[in-house]
Amino acid sequence: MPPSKSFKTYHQGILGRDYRGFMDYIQRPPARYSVRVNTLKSSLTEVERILRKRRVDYGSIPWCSDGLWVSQLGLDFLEHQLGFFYIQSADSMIPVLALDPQPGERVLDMCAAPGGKSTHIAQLMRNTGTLVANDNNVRRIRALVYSIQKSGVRNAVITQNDGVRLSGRGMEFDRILVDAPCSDVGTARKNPQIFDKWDMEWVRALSALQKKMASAAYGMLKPGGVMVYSTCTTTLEENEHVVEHVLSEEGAELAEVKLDGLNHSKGLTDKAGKSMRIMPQHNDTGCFYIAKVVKNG
Amino acid sequence: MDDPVEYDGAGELYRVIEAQFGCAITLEGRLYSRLQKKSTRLFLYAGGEPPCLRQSWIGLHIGDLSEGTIHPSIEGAQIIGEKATKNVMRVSHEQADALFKEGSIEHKPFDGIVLVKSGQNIICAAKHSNGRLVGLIPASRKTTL
Repeated sequence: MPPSKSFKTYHQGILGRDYRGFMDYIQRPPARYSVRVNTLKSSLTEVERILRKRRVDYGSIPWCSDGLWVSQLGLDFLEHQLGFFYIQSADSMIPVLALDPQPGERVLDMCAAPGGKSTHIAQLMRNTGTLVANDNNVRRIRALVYSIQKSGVRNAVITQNDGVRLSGRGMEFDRILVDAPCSDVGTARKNPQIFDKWDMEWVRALSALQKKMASAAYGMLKPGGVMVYSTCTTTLEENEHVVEHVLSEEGAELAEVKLDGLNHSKGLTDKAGKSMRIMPQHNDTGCFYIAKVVKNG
Repeated sequence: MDDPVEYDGAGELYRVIEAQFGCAITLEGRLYSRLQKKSTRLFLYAGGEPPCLRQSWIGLHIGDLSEGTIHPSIEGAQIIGEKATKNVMRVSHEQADALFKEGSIEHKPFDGIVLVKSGQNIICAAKHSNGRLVGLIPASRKTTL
């Protein structure tokens, strides 16, 4: 099903000159796939050796030293189930790189399932400190447990809560990832059915929830702490407007995200200009929106 | 399901591991357990103070203790396997692939639980049943290729 007229009109309105490139790429199937080397269990050299043995072509992902482009999606062989690498889209590695979690810190992944970003966080923390991996959906938590276990993560506690209700319980974190539920436009290359589901009423409902989640997360940051708000979608309402809400309501500051080798554009509003938009035509990936918010200390 | 609780039987666990796999081991972190019908599920948690929230899961599931025998998970086998000096069984790469695809491979009989090694890697624990080496591999960890 091609994108609806309202989808096209909306995106033409917000993207301007980038609209044509966006519409061209968003309707193409993915050109390549990717994995993240799980450094808790293996190494880049070892995974490259495995891929060669399994006759899978691979190449470096410029913005993620643990990431590899691979030539095929069928990778569920022994070393995958041993947790030596994690099948993950290259764009979804970016929020965790922006978060930049450090060993020994206390980190919350508010919407953690199915676990790609949580396991990435754990490996950057080198299995030290505390990772609270939260999600509110039982079925999705099963997938999260599978990812955490397979990846050999030892520093995580999995909790099942509505993210908004986590605040007010006296918890404080050095870093928080809010990879919010969204309208998923960025996944359309893998899942074109998303075009059927897309409408502005849904987007507005998601935006209201996302604002609550981002504010709740910000409230749990230690002074000087860092929150990364991300979505895999394109709308202003789910991205820049959510960040602007946190900036104005909470007095937060926006910090720039810099990752070598990653093409991107700036946030579409002046106030959220330091945030990052990754569009499919930038790196031949899906879409992502990433904002790095710092709590005034 | 109940939350995992701190496990106070580390000494017993270490004795069981030493008896089964011939290695003195001290796990870095805190042990948690969750009672099941016929076994105690054990978790190794290496993080800081956990949050005061209901926990669906904590740390890494390292195995199940049942009637004085540890049945290591894949990750538990990998941890114990670093130091194990007995009951380590070697299989070829082809057998390892088949074990993770089928769940078992033809094998001559042996007693108890072994750790299965392929190349440089401990890949899982296993037992013997009906002429086959049966991997202690959850259905979700079997390969599809």
